[in-house]
Amino acid sequence: MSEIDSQLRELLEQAVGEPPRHIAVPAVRRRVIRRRITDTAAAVIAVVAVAVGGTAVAARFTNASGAGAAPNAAQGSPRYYLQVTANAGTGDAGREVTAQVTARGTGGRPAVTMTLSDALLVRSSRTGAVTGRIGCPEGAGWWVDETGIAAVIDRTFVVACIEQPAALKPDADTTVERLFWVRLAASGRVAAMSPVPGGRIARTGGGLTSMAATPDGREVAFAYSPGNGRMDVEVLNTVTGQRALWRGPNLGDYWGLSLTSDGRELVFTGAPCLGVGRCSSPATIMAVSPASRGGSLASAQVIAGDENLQTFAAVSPDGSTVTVLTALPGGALTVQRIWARSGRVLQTLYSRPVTGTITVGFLSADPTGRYLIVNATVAGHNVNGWLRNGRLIPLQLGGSLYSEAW
Amino acid sequence: MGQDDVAPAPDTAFTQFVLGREQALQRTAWLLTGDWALAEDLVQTALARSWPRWERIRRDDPEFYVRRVLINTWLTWRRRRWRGELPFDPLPDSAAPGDLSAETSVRLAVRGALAGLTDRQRAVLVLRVFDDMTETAVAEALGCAVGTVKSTAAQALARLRKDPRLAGLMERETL
Repeated sequence: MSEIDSQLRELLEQAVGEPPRHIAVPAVRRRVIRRRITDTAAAVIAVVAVAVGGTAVAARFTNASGAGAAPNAAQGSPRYYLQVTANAGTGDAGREVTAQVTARGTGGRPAVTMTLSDALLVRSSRTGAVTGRIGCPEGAGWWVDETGIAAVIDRTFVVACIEQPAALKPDADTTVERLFWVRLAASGRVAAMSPVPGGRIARTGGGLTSMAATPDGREVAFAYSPGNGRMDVEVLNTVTGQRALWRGPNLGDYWGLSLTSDGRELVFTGAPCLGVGRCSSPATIMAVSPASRGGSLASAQVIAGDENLQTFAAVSPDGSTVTVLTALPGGALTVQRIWARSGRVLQTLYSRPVTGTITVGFLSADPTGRYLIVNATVAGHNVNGWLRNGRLIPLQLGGSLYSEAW
Repeated sequence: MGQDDVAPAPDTAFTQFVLGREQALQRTAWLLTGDWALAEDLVQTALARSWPRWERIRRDDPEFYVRRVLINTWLTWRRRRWRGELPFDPLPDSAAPGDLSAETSVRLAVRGALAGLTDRQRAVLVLRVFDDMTETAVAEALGCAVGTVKSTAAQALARLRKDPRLAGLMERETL
């Protein structure tokens, strides 16, 4: 080995350090078994596919325009996810800025405080690496809304940008938000960003509390406060630009919007208020249909709800079931699938006993409804990951996390 | 299984090999991937692929065989589409408070410099320099000629010499 080789080897040794974990033989054996099962299953599937190939192709073309189709169903878990974060203390502080913005309601009514951030990160679901960063196209005066993200198919998302100057006006009772399509390239970088037709929202007293989209992006639903303590939900048809208003009661809080794949049903979690500051319990999962009609949220059909539960829900693409993230203080953090009609539990996808405080963050389903991001704070620790076979696979965190979508 | 009276049973031999060599394999894998999670995944995959053939492998040179599987698995991963992700940020967001330590600086510099090499250059360099394999063994592992290994190693070294990230670290050694 030459001198240069020796020097380089020394440097490589210095750089590598010690592996953080040991590799256990049982883990390797499990992988071998999984590989054999996968190979066997693949062979069986191949035989079946050949046998029914003609029928399947015909059915595919027949149902090509079917609204109930799940376009990503065969593609595995999503490759990328979006993360809105304050990203504090990561060394990137120069680029990550958050601000507390207060927008007053008409006549000096109670202020609405919201946190804005320009840190909307694209991360690889597999490696956690940041592959892209999304900024609002208007420039420095615009911020990413902390909860204004929703996923549609083909690595495309809807992102809400909020205009900072209007929100900072002392007597402002309106702010302006704009919705954008963001499409990612296969590499995870942002390939294109364009305005959503009809996606200008100019009546928000604060930011959006939630946003949802159909897998094809035709319908986008968002919840916000008009600035007087009320909370409304609107459903935007991104093809025609038409919007349907679902007007909330005088006091209320609504979050966790989700739409069926045909956009017909809108499911959300709400807290009918018993008075000012008493809107957190009980939380109720509700649905309105058809979502594009508009009307009063008071007429929503109750699917499930329980006093003392913190809840976040996502409807399945076909509307038959609702996946619910619940937290019972001192009890358990659970993700369950319930029947949309009866509210009865169909399946427990995840359950973790908890001692101590627990706060539900959010539940975010991918456009197929199969893959779920779960976020909660358990005994002061942030739990963030996606569900696979009853286990929570951790997703990379970055600073203070506000919302995620994939 | 259990047919060889002298050597330990394949299962035992495999366990012994994993216990003894997994750390070294992970280090090699880290130099290839630049990420401990991926490195662990890569080593586990290589071991899982080697295990069914362990009866035959252990009679020859198991470490060479596993390293060959490891390097070829990594090259296959690199060719896959989803491995084409382009990290946007040089630093992971979960960086520990010791981010600015000399150790981390060296690690980031080396990782960045290695990332600037082609896959084959990096593979040759890691096997040849870090794992101290002969040029003949590297050629056999990668399925190429010895001359190709020599020229690739020379190109890799030339590129590292020009890398400004390593210049500060190696200036006294005049790399």
